[in-house]
Amino acid sequence: MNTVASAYQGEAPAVVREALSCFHCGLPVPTKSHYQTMFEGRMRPMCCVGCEAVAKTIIDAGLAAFYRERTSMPVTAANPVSLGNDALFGLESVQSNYVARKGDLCTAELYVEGITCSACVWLAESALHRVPGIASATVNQVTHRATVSWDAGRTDLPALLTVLQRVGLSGQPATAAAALAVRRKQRRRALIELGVALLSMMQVMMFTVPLYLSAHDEVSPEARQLMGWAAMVLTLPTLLYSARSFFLGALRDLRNLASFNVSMDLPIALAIAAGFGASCVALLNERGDTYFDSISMFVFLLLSARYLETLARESSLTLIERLTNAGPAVAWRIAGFPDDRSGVAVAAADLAVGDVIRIATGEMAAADGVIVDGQSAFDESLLTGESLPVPRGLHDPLVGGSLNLDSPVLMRVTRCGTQTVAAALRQMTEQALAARPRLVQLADRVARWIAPVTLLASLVAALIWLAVDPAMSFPVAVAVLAVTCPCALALAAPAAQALATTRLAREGLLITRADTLERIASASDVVFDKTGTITTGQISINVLLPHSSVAIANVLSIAVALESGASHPIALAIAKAASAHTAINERETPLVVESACVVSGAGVEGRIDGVRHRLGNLPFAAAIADMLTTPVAASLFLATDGALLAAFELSDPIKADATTTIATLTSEGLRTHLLSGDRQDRVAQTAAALSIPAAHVRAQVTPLQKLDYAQNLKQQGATLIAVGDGINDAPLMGAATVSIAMGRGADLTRLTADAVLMSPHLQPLVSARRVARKMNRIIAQNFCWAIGYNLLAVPLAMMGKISPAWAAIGMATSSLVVVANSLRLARK
Amino acid sequence: MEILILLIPLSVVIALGIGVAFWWSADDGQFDDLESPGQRILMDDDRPVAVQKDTTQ
Repeated sequence: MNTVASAYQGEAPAVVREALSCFHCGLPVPTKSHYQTMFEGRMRPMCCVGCEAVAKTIIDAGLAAFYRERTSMPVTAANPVSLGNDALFGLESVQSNYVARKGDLCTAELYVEGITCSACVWLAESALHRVPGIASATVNQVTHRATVSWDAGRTDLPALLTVLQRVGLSGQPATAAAALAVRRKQRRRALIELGVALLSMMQVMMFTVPLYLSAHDEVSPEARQLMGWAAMVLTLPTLLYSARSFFLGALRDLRNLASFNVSMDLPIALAIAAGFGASCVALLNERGDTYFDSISMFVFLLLSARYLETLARESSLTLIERLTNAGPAVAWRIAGFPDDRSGVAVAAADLAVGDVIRIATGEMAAADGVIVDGQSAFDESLLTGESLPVPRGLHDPLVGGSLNLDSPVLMRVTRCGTQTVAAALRQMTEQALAARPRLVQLADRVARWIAPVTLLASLVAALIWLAVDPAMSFPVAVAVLAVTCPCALALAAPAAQALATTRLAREGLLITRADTLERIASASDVVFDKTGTITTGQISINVLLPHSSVAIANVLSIAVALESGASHPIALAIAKAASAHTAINERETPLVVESACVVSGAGVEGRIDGVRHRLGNLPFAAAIADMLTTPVAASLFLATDGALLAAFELSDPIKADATTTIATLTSEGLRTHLLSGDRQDRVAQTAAALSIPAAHVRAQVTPLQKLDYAQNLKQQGATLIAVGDGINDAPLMGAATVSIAMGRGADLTRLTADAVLMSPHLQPLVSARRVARKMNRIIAQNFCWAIGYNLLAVPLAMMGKISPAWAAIGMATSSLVVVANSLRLARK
Repeated sequence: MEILILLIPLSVVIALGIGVAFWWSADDGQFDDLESPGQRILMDDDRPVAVQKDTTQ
């Protein structure tokens, strides 16, 4: 035993509850917890078996420096290792999606969840490096992505995932490794082009600026000539490498010249080539101006603008990528549910509707479904932007990609594959980003004309100057080519749109149509539906009994039996209330209902043990029973022949931020309306709570009456945003200028709305309006700048008032200005 | 000023050298993550592994 260890032996290994927080994850330690780990001679309290195992692994492996150096705690407690799930990634069919193989060397990209500081990066890398057969492992702290290569003969992907899990991190293979590699290569290429142009620009200036500043005879002619040549050599990398894309674009333009389909690449390439050619001629003849510094600066500034625009688009691509990776690749199918609970691992793609799967703690739901056993808290932030865990219990819907935080649950799959919410979201996001709004289309059309007009203007100017002063002809032509800047149209508008869309998607509002943002900005009225929009839509049920002799459990089991097979919110609420009463769960056989029939708009009737029962509204139930005392608050009644068994009070709480959202919308000048099919008193109560004026509230309206109301408003000149569940409100949504549907629980693939609100909050509506207005403002500013700049600069260049050097600087600066202006949208 | 005849070509060569170095490093992915490599050097654990093992139960 070495000295350091023996020095600790005098201390009693008592548990030190310094802060009563878990040594590994920082969560409070339950008082009865007996989990602990020895670290630096003291017993450290641990909150759970997962954290204990992880801490022990880390310290045993000699990676204890992690605990000394880390600067932030893990987001969640560690999960016990689930080996089975990882073993599945060993399947050849599953692995082929993730692993690139070159001989025996395999490479995969992993998303590493749980990285909070650089110590975590070190921990992940060190742990991976200790696996025999690992060739390399690097973790990127910014993207949380690990690139791992290993020898296929000595280890495999599941082993690596297990290693990560053992130290409290979890790895997910990232799909589409090939696409990622391509994008990374493009990003590097863009960076190199930019860097080379920057280097070249700075070095060329080192040679040209002294010449501008020195008196004519201060530098000897030989040195002057030599510096000219040096500048030329250093411009070559820019010309041949960085400016490649402009020349390639120009070549394409030349081929398309006949169809009049010319991009700005052609004038830009012409200006660069002409400037360089003229400079070389001047250099050889030892007289005239050289433009090497302007060429490299021109290229550098143009590439900067393009690079910034690419970064803006990257952010939206990352979003799509995260949605693509929502959900694991494998799932545990429990074929024999409910009798046999043993699971068989299957690829997520092979799941079918109706399968029951187990979602272990720390795993993501592989498909959409309904919980059939257990309860837990889920992190749905990927889909809704909501960062707090959401509790989910029996009969609650789950969306694929939600992360299980607490305890294992069983789920029955209701949608899988391309039908899932995540898949629909991804498709809609892609669609929205690919769509070109009217403004961008207009910009494109204008930009398409600018290039030919520039070429023509340059030619005309050259011809006129040939007659006036032949020496000026060439510089003027180059200046006109260089000075024209359509970037505000071609670059800045799409960047602004991508940034605005991505930012809202992060907050939980998905834009699905191209023009939506533009129209949201101009709205004057917002029409809300009540149930599920203003309220949470999670109806809770309260049983009011007329006789104390009837047991709540009996009443509920009758109600459940009558509503069995129905899936509307009230039936779900009854099922949920019933499952809270264990007495019903213990009953061996559920009640059997005979000759059940649903009376639309009234309730359901059926025979249980030969006795007629009715569950429905007051007139429906009163038709078979004597209603002596009717509780005022009740709205749902259960009656049997001759007697009222129970009355139910239904309540649907208003969303926490509904009041503030509506107050904010009102203060920003929007009129708010509330239309509902619900009863007058309850709608009025909700409207009062939200301070929506009574004149703007309609209760007990049918979908068609809602449509009338909307058309009335439109006739008065209003621009409407309709916010509703998207299915019952279809006519209203169709009539509104912008329709926003609630995405929660609904079948997204069937929604036809301009935007989908995934967040459980209403706050994104306020953000949407602000972002939309900001986007419109920024695009308008860019248009004004572009028009003003070109109207001023082009005539001046044609008159010979702008030298080619200044034309290049002016144009490139102008494009940087508009792109930078668009990037302001990314800021809060 | 004759020294310029030497210095100018030399500076061109150096500048091109820097360009090649930059190209190589960017192509190698050294600009992909500008955060963790700098901190990684601070994380080196030089203490003997045995010490950690002995204090663990």
